[in-house]
Amino acid sequence: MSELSRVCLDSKESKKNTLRGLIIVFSLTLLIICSTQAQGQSSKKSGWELITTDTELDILNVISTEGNEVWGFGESGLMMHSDDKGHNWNIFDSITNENLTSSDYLNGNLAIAGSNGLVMIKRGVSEWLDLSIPDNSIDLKDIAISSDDYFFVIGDKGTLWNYDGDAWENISMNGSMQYNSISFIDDNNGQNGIIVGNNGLILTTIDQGVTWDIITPPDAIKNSNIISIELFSNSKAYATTQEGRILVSRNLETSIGFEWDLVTEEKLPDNNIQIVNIDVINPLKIIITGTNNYIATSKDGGNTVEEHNISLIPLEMNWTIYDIEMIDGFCGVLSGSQGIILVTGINEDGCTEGLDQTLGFQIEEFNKFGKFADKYSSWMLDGLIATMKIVGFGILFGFIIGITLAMLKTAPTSLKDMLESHLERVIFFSWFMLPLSVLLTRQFENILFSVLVIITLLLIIKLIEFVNNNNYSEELSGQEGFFGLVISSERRLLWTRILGLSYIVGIPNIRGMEIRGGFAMIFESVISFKKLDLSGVAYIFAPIGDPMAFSYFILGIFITFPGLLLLTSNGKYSNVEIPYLKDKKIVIKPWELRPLNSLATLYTDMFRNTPLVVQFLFLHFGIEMGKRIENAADGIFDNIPYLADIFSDRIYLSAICALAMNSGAYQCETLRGAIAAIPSGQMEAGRSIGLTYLQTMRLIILPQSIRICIPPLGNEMVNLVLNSSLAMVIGYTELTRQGKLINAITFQITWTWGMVMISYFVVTWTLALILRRIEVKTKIPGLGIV
Amino acid sequence: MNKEVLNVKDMHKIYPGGVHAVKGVSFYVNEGESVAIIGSSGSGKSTVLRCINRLIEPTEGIVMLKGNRINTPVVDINEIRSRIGMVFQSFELFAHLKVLQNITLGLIHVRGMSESEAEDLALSVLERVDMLDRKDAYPGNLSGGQKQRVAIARALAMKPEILLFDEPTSALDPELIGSVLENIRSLADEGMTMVIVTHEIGFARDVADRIIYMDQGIIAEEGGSDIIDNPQTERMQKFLSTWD
Ligand SMILES: Nc1ncnc2c1ncn2[C@@H]1O[C@H](COP(=O)(O)OP(=O)(O)O)[C@@H](O)[C@H]1O
Ligand SMILES: [Mg+2]
Repeated sequence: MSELSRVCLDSKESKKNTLRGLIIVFSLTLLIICSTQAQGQSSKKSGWELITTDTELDILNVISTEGNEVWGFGESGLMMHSDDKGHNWNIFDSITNENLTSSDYLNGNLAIAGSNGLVMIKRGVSEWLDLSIPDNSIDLKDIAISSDDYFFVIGDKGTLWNYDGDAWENISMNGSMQYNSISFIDDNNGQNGIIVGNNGLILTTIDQGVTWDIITPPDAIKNSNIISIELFSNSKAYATTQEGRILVSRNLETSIGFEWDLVTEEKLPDNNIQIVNIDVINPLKIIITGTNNYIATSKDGGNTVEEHNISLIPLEMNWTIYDIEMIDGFCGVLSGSQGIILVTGINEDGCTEGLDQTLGFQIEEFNKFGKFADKYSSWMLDGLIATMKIVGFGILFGFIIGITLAMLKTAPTSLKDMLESHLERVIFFSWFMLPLSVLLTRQFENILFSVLVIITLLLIIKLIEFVNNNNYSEELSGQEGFFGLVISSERRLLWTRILGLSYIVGIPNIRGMEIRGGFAMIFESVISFKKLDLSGVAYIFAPIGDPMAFSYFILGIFITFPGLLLLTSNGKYSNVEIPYLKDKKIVIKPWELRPLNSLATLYTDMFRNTPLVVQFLFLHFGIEMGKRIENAADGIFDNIPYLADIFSDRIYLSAICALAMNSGAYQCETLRGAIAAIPSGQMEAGRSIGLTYLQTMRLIILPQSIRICIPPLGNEMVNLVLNSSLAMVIGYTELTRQGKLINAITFQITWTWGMVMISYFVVTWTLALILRRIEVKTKIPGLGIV
Repeated sequence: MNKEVLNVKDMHKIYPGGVHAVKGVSFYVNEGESVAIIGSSGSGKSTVLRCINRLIEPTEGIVMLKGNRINTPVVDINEIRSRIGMVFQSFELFAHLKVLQNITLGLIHVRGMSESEAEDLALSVLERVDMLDRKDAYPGNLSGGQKQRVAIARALAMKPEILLFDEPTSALDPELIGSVLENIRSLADEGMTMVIVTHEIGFARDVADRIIYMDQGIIAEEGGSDIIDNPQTERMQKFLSTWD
């Protein structure tokens, strides 16, 4: 006997071991993939060309005026001019010894400002005119022309002067402020202007500098120095802090400049680099420059900033890049310390090279595929690893979501069952757990935290239940109840009605603890909808017009319906029959409504009836899923660098969520089909030996149905890999996006996309092979047609 | 005195489609007694059995197990079911588990036994139904008779207070029936309390202490095993004549 049992123990053990082995191998692979940093070193050449100038002085700013004309100004009165987009320069004799720190150009007027209060202006072709401010002890930092003969300068100690065509006026406000940069809009008669400064200072005017409003900056940059601002147009202004955090202002409800969002939250990883300038090329494309040869561009309004490898810039030492002026989208001039000038475009036709994608970086000639593949396979690898990262987690979470949804969808629990057999439990959750979770979330403003608390509470309850169940007496107590709480049969109806009433009215406002009931939710959301001023059919877009109100509306309906049903219950849970012909009737079965099923159906319908691209965009930009998760997890994983990394990359988080949530919806349907394929007798057999519904699902139904649906699930997973390419729309640098980048640099369309295709094929094919192997391995002997 | 294990009072079952399958059935089973239910197909035998352990809910009536009512919403039905064994016509072994695991599953997850305890117990019940040598086989590789014996072992292992059989041999080839019936017979000899729905009239007569004849949802005749030889009602006479 013991011999026998040892044999079976062994066989069981070995089976468990293979499973454990599989899990370990899978998680290890995931870990390795995710922690690998691709080693590829790109070997691009810079498209910037170094121009020799006859000066060693720092060129503090460059500005383009008309046509191909460019001016440069610098230390000790340095003035230089080029009429061919910066390729050849002519240095003028100094007419001043002050440092010329800034310049601005509008409608033929070129103005410069410098140390010791120097201001000079050149109107058209006329000579320079000295317009220095009366107080020559002030070093001016920046100048901005708002309209033809009207301009502003800022200087140390919060000085702000305004020239109105006749004379200077000192309109300084507060000596403790430290201004860094000023910018006025070029159209709209120059009414709008913005000044930025240290400690998150932002001042905005909408009346050409008569009044200035102090704007509250985003919290994160309260203590940062905002170093440069460009008011690009009526609807877009960008500013950057010294640490490279980019702010944007749009004119939505307020005028431009009043509300600011931090688009680039991360500081530059390198503390030695200080940003000095921001230049806006078009509403979405910006360049920031700084010390240590730093140039970075963003093509999506600051969401992703691509740092250009400083080793690519043909400078040997660490110079500061003071200013960059893009003459058009492709041609630029860049000025820096020690008289350096760099320009893009090296042929006579102008600056058609380097194009939009790579701004200032040269296209290489590849005549041999080997050379190309050699150079860019590391890029492909980067992309592939990035793809695998989202795919790995996507598959994992997608499967979890899929199984959960499938279980919810097949759950037989109807309203009737819940009330008949589990009234105590329902009351407990409605009156205790639900308010608790709402209040916790409100208290800590952190959903993740309250979810953790709730889970802990549930576990404790489960534990107590478990302990209670384990010492059940041999005597049949007969009563289940919840936690020893049992509502007697005569009282059940009363409590059911009270529960229904509570759904409708909620918790009244006592010390801010208010939780609105279903009626209030519907009522208030309808009022909010009215405010939207929509007409007719346009109401289908109300969810976007007021998402909060819409979710309350839906929630309100979901709460009020069962509330009314419970309130009016007569305890019999009978169907409603509405006769409409002599012997025909409509039968409504409100009590057979399966709440879990309805919830899951809502979810899958939502995700299966919208395009994945839109889901990506909506989740990432629309509701800022990644950002929310990042904020919720802020600080929790500080001690686990690996997790901290994951939880600080919001694009990555959004991409995983979108993929997993979408795939989950599809996997759910596959699994549900497989569950339905298991004979109902298996469920009966499980239940008849005393297993609970969930145990039977977990131990008997799911193991069999998952085996059945391995092939279709495999398809879903392959789909997930292929769909992951859409993550590029939110700026996630996966394989396809990497391909796009390579393409933009090399123009080797066939080679690039060919390589991308092969990479995808290798991944999905391997996945399919693994799944086929799993299918064979897990096949049940003696079952099914091979 | 004889202790009453199961008592069914005035049970009715109306299926959602409106079929009135059981129309007021009452009977009891005492400890150590085996009761056979016979009757033509569609007479409601399976329905009665399923209502007893609430795989389906009786529409009306009372089911008492050892003196306690079990068909009210407030009882822990899982606990009740673990005390009522059930053997199905179509075996319903768990196809993805080996024979041994089929039996230990309930012991571990319902009875809370450790794995080794459960295995010891499982091996002993397998020995009882003479299936020890196939303990590592998958159900798909067993013959029908073997499957049913494993199913019996699975129910037995839970040490149920009463065992319900729903036509345990109807899906078997004639030459396989014998061994299963043999197993049930020895259970009866050991004093297991059982309700057996069967078409094996001879077997019922030999094994059952009492016989219930059902027709069209009611108990048409009831008595000791002698009623097979001397049926009192016309309906039962007619039914038996078709079986000879
Ligand atoms: N799930 C069901 N839904 C509707 N009618 C059913 C269902 N199961 C059985 N019936 C009907 O109930 C009656 C009794 O069935 P059953 O108890 O299976 O009979 P028996 O086991 O005696 O052959 C039959 O008329 C059958 O058609
Ligand atoms: Mg039957």
